[in-house]
Amino acid sequence: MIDSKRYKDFLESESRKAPIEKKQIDEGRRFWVYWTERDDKVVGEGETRDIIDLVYFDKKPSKTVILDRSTARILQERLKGLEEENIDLLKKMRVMKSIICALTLVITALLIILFWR
Amino acid sequence: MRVNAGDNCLADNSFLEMTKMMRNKVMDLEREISARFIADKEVIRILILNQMHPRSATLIRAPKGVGKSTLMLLLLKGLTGDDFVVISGASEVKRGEVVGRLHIPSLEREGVERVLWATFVKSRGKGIDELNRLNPYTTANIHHLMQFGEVWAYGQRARVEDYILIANENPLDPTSFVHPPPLYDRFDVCVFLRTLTLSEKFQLQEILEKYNWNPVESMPQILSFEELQEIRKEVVNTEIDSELVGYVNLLVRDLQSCIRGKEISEIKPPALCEGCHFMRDVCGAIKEPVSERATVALLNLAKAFKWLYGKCDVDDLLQMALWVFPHRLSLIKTKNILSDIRELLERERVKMEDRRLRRQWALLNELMKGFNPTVYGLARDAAAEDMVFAEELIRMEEKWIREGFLKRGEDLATQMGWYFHKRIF
Repeated sequence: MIDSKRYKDFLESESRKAPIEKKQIDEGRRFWVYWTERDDKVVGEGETRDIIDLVYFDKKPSKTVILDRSTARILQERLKGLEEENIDLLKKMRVMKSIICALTLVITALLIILFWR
Repeated sequence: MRVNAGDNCLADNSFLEMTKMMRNKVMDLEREISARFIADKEVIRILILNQMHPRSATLIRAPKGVGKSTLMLLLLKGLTGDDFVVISGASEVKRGEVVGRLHIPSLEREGVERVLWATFVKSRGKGIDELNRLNPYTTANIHHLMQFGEVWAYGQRARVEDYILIANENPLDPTSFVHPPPLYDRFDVCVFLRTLTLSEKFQLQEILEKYNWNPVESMPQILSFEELQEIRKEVVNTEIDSELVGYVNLLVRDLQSCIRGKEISEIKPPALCEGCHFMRDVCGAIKEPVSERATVALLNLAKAFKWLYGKCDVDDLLQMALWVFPHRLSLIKTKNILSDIRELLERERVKMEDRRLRRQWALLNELMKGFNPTVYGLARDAAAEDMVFAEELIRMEEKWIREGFLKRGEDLATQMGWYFHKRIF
């Protein structure tokens, strides 16, 4: 399928408005692709697009919150840690519940024996 | 023949003068209507902008007694003088009055079936009052006229010249016929009128007194139909930049696309959206997508806007889009169609900005030049956030698979199970 010229022009003009930068990292075809943001048009006063500011500094979220790959990994790790901690605590709770039940039974038995005599 | 540069310059100057004069006349039309009718400026502006392309069709929706018919008449009179016919759904309208009737003497004397085409067919200005009450047979004829620019009666066909068609209706009227959605789709825009505020009521009384309780009667013809056709020619030839065309297409595509193919699915949203990756996206709020006519209507408006005001940007486009979608979109939950569409358009504005922030178009542009794994990786991340972008990326993946840059199974379509085109065809 041949792409229309206008479609290509649209992509070209949008690319000029919001370009990407490329940095060669070796002799081959590999390179870093990166970009920087100079202005953020949809962020209101006191609002943030940054998830870290949002979670840790108690700022208001803007209409969209952008999450880059590294922050997503941090959150993923943190969530994973919390999940594991949760499971650990759940296990401990189960053991404690069993101990409480056993102790309740022992105390009840002791009381019965004590009052039976 | 040798053409003198001075002659060319003179011709250019007179053309520019002519265009300027036409623009002033269009502005005059807006002023004359605003002087006689109280409505949001935006509504009157869009009504006028929509008349600037051939075979324009406009729908005015409003509750009873708000001025739908008055506005329709003001516009028809301002553009066609007395060369307009209004048929009313509230009265008994027969096919012969709308399309044509048989000429009985010809049939009796010569045995020839001659059709007398109705004035509605021949007149430049066509008005339909209370479209919702118009019987389905007459509506079908009008539908055909709007679709093919012709009418048929007694096996004979008549071509319909360029026209202005303005209809109005009150959708809350209990005595309405349910017309098919494709009929409404043929109206380029649909504007809504509202009841007047306290201060506006005072203004209305002053207007009525000023114009002797009949503002339509005093409405002058601002443009001749020939002048309007000249404007229409200029508007059609107005160039709008590829960026704006791109945004029109993008906006309409956002309101159409569905990875589960809702346009042909028997199950409709919200049931269809259960468990969908894009459930919270704009598409999740839309039951029936808009047609391609929305793109044409929006492009025509953008051209007219540029012709009249010298420029048209994305904000103007989003403002005009409000009147292109209400009669074409079916939403899952509709509280107030205009507020709901305004909300959707606001989400679209944010979405467009997010696309810019993710550098989606730059990535796609880079990939158009050739496959690159690094750029492809980033494009895949962006595709997970944007269905329209995913569609384009998947289309390109097919090519890369054929060329051996990608293996089947490594592509987004297979991994995510998004088969946009294959599902339909």
